[in-house]
Amino acid sequence: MNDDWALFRIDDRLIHGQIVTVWIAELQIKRILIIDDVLAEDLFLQNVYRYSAPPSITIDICSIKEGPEFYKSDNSTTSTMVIVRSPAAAMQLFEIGFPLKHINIGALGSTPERERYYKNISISTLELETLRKLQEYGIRIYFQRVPSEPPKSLEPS
Amino acid sequence: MNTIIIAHGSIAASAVQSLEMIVGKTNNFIAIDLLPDDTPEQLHQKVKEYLSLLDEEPVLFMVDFIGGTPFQVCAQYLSRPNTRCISGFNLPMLIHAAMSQNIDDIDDLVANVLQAGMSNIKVFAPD
Repeated sequence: MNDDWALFRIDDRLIHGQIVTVWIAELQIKRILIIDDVLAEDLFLQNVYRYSAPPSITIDICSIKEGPEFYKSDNSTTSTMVIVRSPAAAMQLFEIGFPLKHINIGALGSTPERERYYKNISISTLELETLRKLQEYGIRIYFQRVPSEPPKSLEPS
Repeated sequence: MNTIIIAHGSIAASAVQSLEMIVGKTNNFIAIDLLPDDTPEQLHQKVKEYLSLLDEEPVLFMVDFIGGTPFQVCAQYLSRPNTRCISGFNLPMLIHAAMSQNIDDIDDLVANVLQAGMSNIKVFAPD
């Protein structure tokens, strides 16, 4: 079993235009695993996301708790893209043993708590702390919305 | 028939402008642009506002492509009565929709609009 994902992405839109067009083609993705507690409970929204990807892509959706199980069942992680909604979700996964070597921050929309951090990606103070902690654990954290943009590493505090 | 066009960038508004260049002023085409800083929530808000003005009237959404944010937002309103969504719209589809205002049944309209759009996609090359 290979424990490296093609891409582990934090993106609060989960699957959207940038994912279904450029990322899938660039990394030759065959499977998208969305790990999200809200979506795992919402069958209607799950269908919207399932329709969103090209038919050749397998979409799996699970809760954070189920994440490690899905990992064990995946024997081709290098063509799997994992998407979570927030830095907190990435931390929760890390804490329950979900393999994480690198985290791509792709999209985080602005909210009253968040400040613009890089291009149109916004982050709250708490989220920045969470990402820095993950970085201290040896995980590479980088910002990159689409493959054609150069990745920008998270600067240490 | 009320048509709501939603797309990335400003092609929705531009598409309606182009449409009116051909068929003249229309009054039931709504364009919603999704700009780089717009959130899906803001898009939902705009769609809801327009839908609230339309009561139970039929609505045809047209979006740019399957899987993008415009598509995902529209997909969440398909449980509304007489509401359909066509993805991958082009100008011939808009023109056909504008010229088919006499068709009352939304599924008839959708079939016609789709046909108009698809029959305009062709490759031309020298013999």
